[in-house]
Amino acid sequence: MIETNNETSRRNNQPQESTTGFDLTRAILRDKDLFAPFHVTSTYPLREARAGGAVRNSTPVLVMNHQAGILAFLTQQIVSHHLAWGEMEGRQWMVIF
Amino acid sequence: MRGLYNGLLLLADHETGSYWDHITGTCLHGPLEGHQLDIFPLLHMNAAEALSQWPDVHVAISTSLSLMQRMRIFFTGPLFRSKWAVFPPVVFKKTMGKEDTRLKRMEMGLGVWTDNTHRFYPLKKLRTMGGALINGLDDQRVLVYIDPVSHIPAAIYTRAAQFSRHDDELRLDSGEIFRGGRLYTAQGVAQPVAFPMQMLTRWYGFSATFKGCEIYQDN
Repeated sequence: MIETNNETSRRNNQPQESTTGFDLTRAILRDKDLFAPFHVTSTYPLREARAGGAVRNSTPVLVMNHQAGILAFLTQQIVSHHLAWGEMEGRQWMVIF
Repeated sequence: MRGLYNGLLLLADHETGSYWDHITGTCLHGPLEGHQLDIFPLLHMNAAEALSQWPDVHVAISTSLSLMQRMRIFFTGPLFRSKWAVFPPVVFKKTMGKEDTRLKRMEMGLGVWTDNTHRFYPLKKLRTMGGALINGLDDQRVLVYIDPVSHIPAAIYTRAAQFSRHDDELRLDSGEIFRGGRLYTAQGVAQPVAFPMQMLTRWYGFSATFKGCEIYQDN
């Protein structure tokens, strides 16, 4: 459907309603990051991290089950960063908690 | 993370200034409103379970946590887990809309969702059912369980309709055995597992994200 200028003008003068139902009056929006994100540039075999004592059997982890691959994170670290991001097999990914 | 909404953190992208729901991957506000990111499950377990399931899995370890962040882990972890936890904080409450009061705001559960179904499995309910159940999800079935060792709930797709318990393992009527977060054939050969989208969450977060969601009932 082609929209004429008059139709566009009429619609722009109506109250704008979010297509997602987002209520801006309730949102708190900032232009700076609230937490420092974790940029993942290197990883280690979990088995080696356990053997070296950095991780125990009982250490809680979060496991990303992505098409590009599987990757684990230490839960307590992600609870603090809230966001980790990186690239795997040429695909960008992001983990949020 | 650059905002709060519905008592949950909001993701923002630096390029367009759009704000995204970090659970569904939907852009809620800004130039990309209505766009959708591909999403994938993030699974809770312990290191031993992860290695059992994926022996070659790698781990990403952050070395950049500030002193403040380390202190936050130390002090807030036990506080959030305590039965006296005061959460969400007042600033979070101001961002919440009309709440779904079918369950208590802070009730923990496993939220599982597909394009068609959004369902909350209260942990209390899972515990009263012995920590495991099989339930239909769209045209498939899911086994929802609390791991007896890590006490972490999770859901996997299954072909089975029923199971029986034998110590720490579940014997499924599909002939498979479920043990330690892994699925085995009757001959003990490990099988690949598929996970629906899921998150361990408070009721307020799941019900605000998936309005009118189902609550698991066993009858």
